Amino acid sequence: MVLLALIRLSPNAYGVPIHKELVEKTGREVALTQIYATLDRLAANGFVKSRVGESSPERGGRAKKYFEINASGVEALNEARNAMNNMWEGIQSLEEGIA
Amino acid sequence: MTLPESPNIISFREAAKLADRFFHLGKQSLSENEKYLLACAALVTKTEDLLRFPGNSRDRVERIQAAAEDMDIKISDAPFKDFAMSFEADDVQPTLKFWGYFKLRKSIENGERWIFRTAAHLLLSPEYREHFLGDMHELKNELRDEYSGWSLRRRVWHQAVICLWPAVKWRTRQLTERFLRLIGVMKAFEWIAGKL
Repeated sequence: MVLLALIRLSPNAYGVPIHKELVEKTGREVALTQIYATLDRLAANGFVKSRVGESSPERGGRAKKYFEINASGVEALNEARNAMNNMWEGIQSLEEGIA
Repeated sequence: MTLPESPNIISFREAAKLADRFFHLGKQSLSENEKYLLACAALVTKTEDLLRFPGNSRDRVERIQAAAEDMDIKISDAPFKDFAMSFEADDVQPTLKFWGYFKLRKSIENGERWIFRTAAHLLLSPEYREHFLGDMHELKNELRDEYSGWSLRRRVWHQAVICLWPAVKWRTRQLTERFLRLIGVMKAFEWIAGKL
């Protein structure tokens, strides 16, 4: 979901918009620390790259860190989507799946 | 720099709200409006002195202006005279109450800052800590535009708790595992000692 948020917000994806996007689109409360922990893992796996942006008074003079998905991230996302599609294939409705 | 006159700056609470906002905007690249807030901040921060050294309203105006001049700001007389007069007219007690409220709010904010710093330290690598704290600052400023008072506090504390909760769970689990391992090692020593 964080990778999808990065694509949707590109090229202005940093902590606050990512947080907003996840809260709005998923309807779940997400902690900012969890988002950063996830981004850290994604960066360690080579799925995202980051750059340090400008600082502003609204941020207490601290700089933003922009994240962007890279080629291997897109590949991982495609694989995840294919896997999900494969699992759904053949299921017409959830009631049928239970029966 | 001469600041625009504002007949709105007459109440203590209002000035404090503006000052509070100034403290969160920081001192970089101030706009005209922000400079006005800075003047209000000077005014509010110097009010404690005014309470300690009460005098007549003229004296108070001079003190307020001196406080602003310390910050290289020239203030037009009228709004601050109004302010000082309203201060004069008010009972001192509500003013002191206000100071209690202002200080309590500052303490709460310091608590929030401490929690966010702890969460950043426990959960994030050093590379991300400052950016996370910047984001929290930005989020708080956005919330401040929509909410105020305890409604704002509640939302900020909610963020603080959900930020810190995973760290608390993780640390508790880590400590429990260490404790159980220690118990296991002690039992092993006891067993070996029993065999000897």
